[in-house]
Parts: sequence; structure tokens; C-alpha cells
Amino acid sequence: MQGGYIHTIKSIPSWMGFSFPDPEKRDQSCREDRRTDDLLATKRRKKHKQRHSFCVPCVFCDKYLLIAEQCSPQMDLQDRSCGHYKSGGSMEKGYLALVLHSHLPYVRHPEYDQFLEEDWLFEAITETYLPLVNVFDGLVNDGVDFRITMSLTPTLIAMLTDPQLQHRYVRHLNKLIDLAEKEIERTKHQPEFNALACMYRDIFLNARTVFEEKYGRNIVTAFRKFQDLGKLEIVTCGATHGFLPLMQNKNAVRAQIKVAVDHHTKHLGKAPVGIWLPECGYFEGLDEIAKEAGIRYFFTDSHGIFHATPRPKYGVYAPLVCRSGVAAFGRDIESSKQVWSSVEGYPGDYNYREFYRDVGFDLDYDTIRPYLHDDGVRVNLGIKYYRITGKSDHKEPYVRQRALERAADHAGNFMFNRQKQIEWLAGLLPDRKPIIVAPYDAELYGHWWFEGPDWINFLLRKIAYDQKTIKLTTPGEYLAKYPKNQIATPSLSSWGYKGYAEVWLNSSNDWIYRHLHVAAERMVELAQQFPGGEGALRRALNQAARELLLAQSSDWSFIMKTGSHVEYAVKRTHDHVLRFTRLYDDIKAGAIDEQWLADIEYKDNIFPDIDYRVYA
Amino acid sequence: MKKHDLLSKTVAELKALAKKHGISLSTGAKKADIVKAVAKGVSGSSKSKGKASVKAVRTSQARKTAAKMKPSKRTAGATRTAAKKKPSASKQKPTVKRSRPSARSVGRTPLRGTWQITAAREEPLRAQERVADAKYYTGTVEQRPSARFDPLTHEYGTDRIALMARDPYVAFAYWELLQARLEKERSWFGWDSKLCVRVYDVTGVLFDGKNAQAYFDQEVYDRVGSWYFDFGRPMHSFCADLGLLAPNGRFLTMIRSNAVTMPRDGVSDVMDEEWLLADEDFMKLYGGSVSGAGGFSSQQVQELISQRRMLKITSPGMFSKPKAKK
Repeated sequence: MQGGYIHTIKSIPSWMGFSFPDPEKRDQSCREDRRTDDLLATKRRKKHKQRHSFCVPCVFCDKYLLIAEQCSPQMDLQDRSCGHYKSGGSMEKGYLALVLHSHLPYVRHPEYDQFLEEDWLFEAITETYLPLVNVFDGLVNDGVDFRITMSLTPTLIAMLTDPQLQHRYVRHLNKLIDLAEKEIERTKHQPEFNALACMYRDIFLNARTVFEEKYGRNIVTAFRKFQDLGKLEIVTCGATHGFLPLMQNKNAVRAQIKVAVDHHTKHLGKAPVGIWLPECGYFEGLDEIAKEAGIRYFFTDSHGIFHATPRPKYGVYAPLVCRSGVAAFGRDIESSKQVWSSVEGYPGDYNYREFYRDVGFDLDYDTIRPYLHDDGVRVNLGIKYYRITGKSDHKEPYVRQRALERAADHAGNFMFNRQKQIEWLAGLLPDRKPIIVAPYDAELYGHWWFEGPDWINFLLRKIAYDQKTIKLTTPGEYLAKYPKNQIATPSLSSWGYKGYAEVWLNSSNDWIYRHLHVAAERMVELAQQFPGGEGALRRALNQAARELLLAQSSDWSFIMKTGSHVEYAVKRTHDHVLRFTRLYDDIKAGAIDEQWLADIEYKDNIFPDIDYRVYA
Repeated sequence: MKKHDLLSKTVAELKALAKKHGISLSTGAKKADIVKAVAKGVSGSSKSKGKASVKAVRTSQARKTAAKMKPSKRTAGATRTAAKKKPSASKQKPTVKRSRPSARSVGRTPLRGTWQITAAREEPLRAQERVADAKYYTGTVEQRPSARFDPLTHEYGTDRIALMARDPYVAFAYWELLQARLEKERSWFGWDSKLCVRVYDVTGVLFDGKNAQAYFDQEVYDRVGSWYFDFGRPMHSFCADLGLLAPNGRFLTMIRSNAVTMPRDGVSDVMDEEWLLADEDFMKLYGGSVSGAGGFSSQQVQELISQRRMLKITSPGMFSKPKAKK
């Protein structure tokens, strides 16, 4: 921690993560003041905790700065605050665009009653998507102004809106609730674990309420709600997250983008203005294809912008515009380092929850057997009792309160550093306000970094009330404000390790491209040969397009490299390529096996409205 | 040893195993990291015991040796260094030929300062990868009975060679050549001719088969195969032919690949008049708020400073030693 930062943080009632609204007051605070403040805060905290556990006490008066909706739903928004808070106004010196990229590959196996890899989605819903929805809901209810950019990939949207997966998720959740209840009973003589078991039960119960009752099992509607409120800018991605620079076939790239835009428009009510290129993979000419689909901006990694031709005047702190007119926003190095670095990165704090210790492996087998899959193999169940504790294998029980305090501290630190960064950048960019683009995997928040959603909550509230230097924005808003930007072509890049294509092209996965390229060429050939297919032919052609798209997911090659579920990734690649090849042969021979076609339409049912002519 | 065997062990056992195999582990390593490291280390050592049959392994070794060399020495492509390092593989030694003497200088263009914004090479992205991997992590899944799937064909019955850029230096090629075609061509060109991939540097030319800036040959052994080429020439364009090389040096092209342009690995020298910026200011933008002080650890500052020193960018005052300041 640095000097200035301690000063700021000490004056915050850190249990909640809020600081004095008035900077002058903050500067004056001397040691005595702080002691009195602490005393007052402690008293108020005790009193407050008894009744209003979600409200924010004011440091100037005895009232609450913000009274949460839970406490007094009948109150008007204005009446809920004592008026000592004032939001930033237009004094900001620069902008911060938080970007969350949420993606999971299409995993849906109706042919089995349960399927291990479907847990990827269920875990992400419980730990990331629903907590984020809760955070956004809380912010909206409390009248906090915020802007966030999120990508929802078409595969994720397709899974979140699929009735069968929704049903299975509820089943999964019910099991977890049952397990949590049993854990509460089992740990009744161990208070530190018992409190955690209660916490998990509450989380799961809340998840079920929000998922089933509040949003009718479809959380895409939740994100759409925040989009329509103007708080959330939702961008699209490649249809199945195929890594575009290695595709080599323009029609295949076009199909990935076009199908994604159509699917996005259907589910979110309006066409996406931006795109998160899968893995930030950009190559020269991609912007033109994106433009055809109505995309106005995309993101690249930092070096994509820094290595642009001609040299970018403002680095990554202002967008570049490609010759096609599509803008490119570059990732800020500092803010990503602050979260990711293993030295000072936030998620590694010893008070945070440990990801790798799970009751699925810690408890004795008979206790957890009913909650495992049919095959009885131990898997993670999502109840984790320990904090990171330290570098050794010794782990201490997780203390929620302490972790939340750290999350608030870290949010304060992040904001402080962004303020300093903006102040410094403001001197370098004379004619415009800089923008800091901070993109992260959405699944970092909650799934990996359990306290991540709380961190976002604290950060957004602090930015709204505690400072005036930075303002949250979205790339779309920034472009509307600064339509004139430097024209340049970014360089080929990705946000994967080493910055180019090595993650998706190495000795573990290079064998797939031989198949994917041939399949893409064949799909184009089919689309050109049969421009007006009808009936079974049309169905077969559409299904061939689906199979090709599914085979192209960058997840498979990524998994082959990192090695958690390699067999599954290999199997999926094989299955889709084989299905495609058989469809191609059948279509060419004019002998479509309709029964088999119906079977794979049932299994790979993504993009029901796809039109294969997108490949022509 | 397979990964699921490792995953079923306790961390202490894994550490013992790592010690046994001489694998060094970082102090804060998580179980998944240890498993990864051990799996890699164990399989790596067992692989090297057997015959290195996979070409990718060979080329990756070549790449490593090439990476150790200073960039300026890497002009003629790492295949040369690879051959140097492996005397046993002298058979593979590619014959580097240049069509014109002037092409000798075609190495990696010495960009002024060769600024490399290597955001992507450092450890934050490793952490990011780990998180992305955690999305797919459900515990010890590998204990499950292995999934059944049908094999894929390796041949699609067409002659084809494709070249793909992996990063600014390395490209990957894969090809398929029909047996009948190979035999037919060999029958008149000579049975003693070798199957070769000839890679052309076609930067800035409209390639017609003869006007390449430079080329080299890489002997290959399979008519359905793949290879990694370490060109070490960012921003250059390449194109590859699969053909037959006769002992007398004649080359017969059978199939030609697409052309590929390697990505840039440094900051562009091209400036836009309307958007001019001094070098110092640009580096400031890259370096972030070092001079803005505040939330940087001294290590990070050190890192950035050393990086800038390496890049020979000096901005007065910023890097002067404390003594000089006095």
C-alpha cells in the first residue's frame, strides 16, 4: 500500500466500503478526528447492524446516506438519502470503461440425463451471472449511476435461454440447497463452518428466487433490463467464439459475426453496437467484415493498438478508427496488471476464498455421494470453506466479513490508482479526456474470485460518490462524445498468453485446423452450389452450418492446451467435424438421412433461425 | 504419468514427486499448477527418452534455442540456428539460398529502437489463462471413463498446403499430398528427389514463383504433415510450396500455399502528420503513470524503468540517478 492510499482508506467505514463524500473534509481529518470518527462509526455500526444491514450510515448526520430498498420499499428514492451525497457532475478528467467478457461454450446434452460439463454453466450462473445481476439490481434500486460494458456471447445466450438447461439448473440448485442444509446440521458444533454453511444456503436460496421468480428462469432478460435502463452496454462476440485470425476463410469469419449479430438482436431487442472479438483476436481486414454486420467498435489487446500503423498518438487511451470506420479500443495495461498480477493482484489476497478447496473433495464420500453425478466421481460442488490463508497448503476457515473488508479496500485502491492515472494522462492528452478500458473475463468475478462481484459493487458505488476525477462510460458513449479519432490499422494480436495465436495453435491442438479449414471451404461450396435449398435439403444445409460453427469454438483448442477436460474437447471437435462431413457427403450425393438429421438437430440445436446462405 | 493419477495424489505427495523429477515449483504454487508442472516435467522427460518423433517437439526446441539468441542474430531464420544446435539432425539442414545478393539485408528490419510493447509476454496473462481454465475446472474429471468418439480422417483427398502465422516470428504449415500425385511426379522428376517445403519471402512483391526476396528449403518426410517455421521476420510475407528437390538442386513445385503476413512486433515508424506525437510522450503513454507516482510498487517501477532502458528511450529527469539530481 502506498502513503496516499492509506490516508484515503483509513477514513472509510471500511466494513461497508464507503468514504467521506466531501474531499475537503477528508483532507482535514487529523488523528483525533479519525479516532472520534472511528468511535462514532463503531457505535453506529452496532446499532445499524441490528436493523439495516444493507444501508449506508452518513458520517455527518445521524441518518443514513442511503437506505436500501429492502429496509423501506415504500420510500421514494430521494427520501432514502440524507442528501450529503452528491454525485460527480461533469467535472471528470477522464473515463473508465469496465468491460466484462462473459462466455461459455455451447454444452448441452439432451441425450444424457446429466452431464458433467453442463456444470460449467451452472457454476457460472450461481457464482458469476446471478451475483452480477444482484449487484446491478442493488445499484439501480439505490439510484447509483453506473456504466458497464458486457459481452454476452451467442453460445451463452443460447444456453441461458434454453428451457432444458434452465430446468437442469434448477435441479442442480435444489441439490445444492439440500446439501447446504445438511452441512448446517453437520457443522452445528463448529461455528466458523456453520456460519459459512448458512451463507451458502442463503446464496443458493437467493439464486433460486432471483432465477426462478424474479427473472422467470431467463437471466438474459435481466441483462436486457439493465441495457434498456442505459446502465449496461451489451456487445456481441463471434457466434461460437471461434478464433478469427486462424480461420483463413473470409466467408467463415463473416458467418461467425453475422450469425452472432442476428442472434444477439433477437434476444436483446437491438443490434449490438460493438463486438468483443473472440480472444481479442484481430487481423487486418476483420474490421471491414464487422462493418458489414453493423458493428461500430471492437476491442483489442494493448499491443494491437500500440503496434498500429501509423503510430497511435494517444496510445490505448483513445480509440483508433480503422479505414472501414470501425473503432478499436485497446486494453489498458495498468488496470489489468493490478487485478491479474500475482504480486499485487487482488484475487490472490490471503483473506479471499480459496478456489481449489471444495467439499466435493474434502468431505467423506458417503456424505456427498447423493450430490455427485451418476458415475459417482468426486467433483467440485461449489461449497468452499477455506480462505487462501498463505502460500503453504495449510488453510484457515474463510471469514466473510474480513474478505468483504478487503474487497472494499481493493476497490478503493483500484479507484485511487485510476484517479492518479487519469490525472496524469490528462496532462498528456491535451485536446480530449482519456478513456481507460479495463476488460476482464466475467467469470473471474465470482467464480474464480469469489468476492469479485462485491468488489465491483464497492467500486461502482465509490466511483459514483467518492470522487470527481473519473467517470464511468461505455465505448459507445465515448464515441458519441468524441467522434473524431485517429485513423490507423491495429496489428494482429490477441489477449492470449504471449499476445498472438500461440494458445490456439501449438503442438497440442494444431491438428484441428486441417479439418476446420476444409469444413469451412466445403460449407462455402455448399452454400454457393445450393442457393435456394428447400425442405430436407435446407435443413441439412442449416445443420451443416451449425456443426461447422460449433466445431470452430476456440474453447476446444484452449482446453486441449491447458488440459482440464481434454478428452471432452477432442470429442466435441471430432463429433462436429464428423457430423459436418457426413452432411456434406449426403448433400452432395443427394441422399439425406432425415432420421439422423433430426437426431443431430435435436442434439445441436443452437441458432434455430440460422440461414446457411450467410456462407455464400 | 497421466494427469488424473497426479490429481488423486495429495499436495505433499506431488511435491515429493516433483522433487524426485527435479522439477522446481514456485512457492505459492496451487495444486493445479503443481499437477501441470509435474505432468509436463514427467511426460517431457519420458518423451525425450523415446525417439523424438513429433516434429513439433523438434521445432519447439529449435524455437527455444532461437529465442535465446539475440534478435539481431536471428536474421536468417531460426532453421539455421536449429541446424547448428543439432548436429545429429544434419540431414535436415535446410539449404538457405537467396535469389539476389541484395536480399542479404532482408533480415528483421531494424526498426529504430525496435520498441516492443510486450504486454502479452508477462505473467498477468498467465494468471488470466488460469482463470479462463478455471471456467472448465470441475475437479478430477479425468477419472471418468474415457469418452468414445470416432476417429477423423487425416486425408480429404485433395492436394493442399496452408500457412498460418502464429506470432511475429513463427508460422505453421500443414499439407496433404495425394499418394498418386507424389508417385506420378517422382516417376518423371526422379525417384531420388526429396519431398521439400520451400518457403519464399514474398514481402513487397507480386509473387510469380521467381521473384521472391529469399527462400529456403525444409525437407519433410510425410506427404500428410505439418511443420513450424521460425522465420524471425516480423512484418514479412511468406508463402510456401510443397515440391520435390532433386539432388542437382532443381525444384518442382507441386502445390502452393496461401501467402501470410507475419504480425508486427514493435511500434510503427509510420507517423500521421495530423496526429504527431514526440517519442518521449509516446513512451510515457505506454509506461503509464510512473511519474504520476501513487499506486505503483517499487518492483513495478523498476520493471518499467529497466524496460525503458532496454528500449533506450530516455526522458530527462525521469531516469537520472538520485546523485545526479543533487
